[in-house]
Amino acid sequence: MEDKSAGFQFTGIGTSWCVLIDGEVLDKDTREKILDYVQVFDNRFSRFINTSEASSFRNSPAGKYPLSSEFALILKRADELRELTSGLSDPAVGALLELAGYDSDYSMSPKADLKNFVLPKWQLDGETLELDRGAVFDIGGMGKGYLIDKIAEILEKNGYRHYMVDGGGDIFATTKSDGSPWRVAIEYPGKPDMAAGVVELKNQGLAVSDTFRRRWGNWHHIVHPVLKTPVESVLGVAAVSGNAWDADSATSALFFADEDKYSAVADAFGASYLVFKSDGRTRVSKNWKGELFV
Amino acid sequence: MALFNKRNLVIGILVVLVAALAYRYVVKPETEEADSAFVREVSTIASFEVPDGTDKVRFTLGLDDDGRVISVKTTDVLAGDTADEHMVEFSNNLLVMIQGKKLSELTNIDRVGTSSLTTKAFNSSLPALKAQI
Repeated sequence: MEDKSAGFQFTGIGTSWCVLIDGEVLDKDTREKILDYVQVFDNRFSRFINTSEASSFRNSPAGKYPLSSEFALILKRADELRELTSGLSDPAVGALLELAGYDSDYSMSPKADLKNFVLPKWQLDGETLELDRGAVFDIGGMGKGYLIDKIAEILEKNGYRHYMVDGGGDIFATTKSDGSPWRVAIEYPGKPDMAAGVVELKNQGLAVSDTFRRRWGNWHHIVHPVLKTPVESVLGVAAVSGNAWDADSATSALFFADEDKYSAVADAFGASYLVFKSDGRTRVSKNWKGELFV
Repeated sequence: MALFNKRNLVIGILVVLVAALAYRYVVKPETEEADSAFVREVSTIASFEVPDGTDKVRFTLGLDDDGRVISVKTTDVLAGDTADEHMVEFSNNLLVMIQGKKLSELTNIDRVGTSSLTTKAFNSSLPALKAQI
């Protein structure tokens, strides 16, 4: 194959990225802008980085704190997800993930005081955060989708129109240069060589999440904030929406939402979805467009 | 419809899906229009016993010209084919068994959407953990 099809590959926020431009190679200047943006994003919002805004409230006493506009925007979305999932999708589980072993050293060893974890209560008033105790925010549930859309913005500003941005398997794609959609296979949760279906993306985002990839011992990265255990009723979720952030937000909410809330989640983010349940069956939204291998 | 039985509904939906598949392969519509809008509706009624009689639920599927399901409605036959909130919600979710297909068998694919690939640091720490179990 020619070089063009390999795209621009790099590592950022703990995963592999690929930017594909249909029929072209991404210029050096735009590559550097993308790398810079991703690095700055990681420094600001990764809970693995001690000086990040997401980690900065770790030892804070109860009180009100000003936020950057961008972090406020991200937490506002997290607040919507929390609402849609009766409080189960909550970015304030950061410290719980650390106690379970998913920490900056990747110790992967659950700590004894895990049971003492209390989910911090937080609320947002514009760009002011109110906390009842110190909190570590994990925006892993939808931060990647946000970043994918930001990279798409950089591409647009630099004159690119026909591209696909793949952030560790979550994707935003415009069209190919002939106007046709990008065809993307959706991996079957836990079976990396199997596809559950194929979707055609045309100015749309796709997010795919499962509980297999980031798994250690009895744990994985999607945790119940009250029971303090990993979520096991859902194996994986895929969602398609108008952009990557909305698709990523929908997958995060669907992991935790009751089945009778699936439509509300889909409506909130203009999404269609697949929810792979642990019993082997899959919930498919009525508006799902794409091939499924039944 | 107080005793609206989810399990029966699931069975009903599966029956309808099988019917739709049969329709797709056996009764191919003759028109070959490029338009992918809804071209035909099929419906079936599922009955089930409840303590005060029989409930009847109608599943109506809209099919496009390839026989693909593009709309689903679930209604209460005895209430004049109306739908309560629960039925509307049920219609918004199809329940299917996905068998999957080998990625290597797929053609014309640009990319695979997948759950996050993990970092080397994450993966390299796993053997140490496995040793503890």
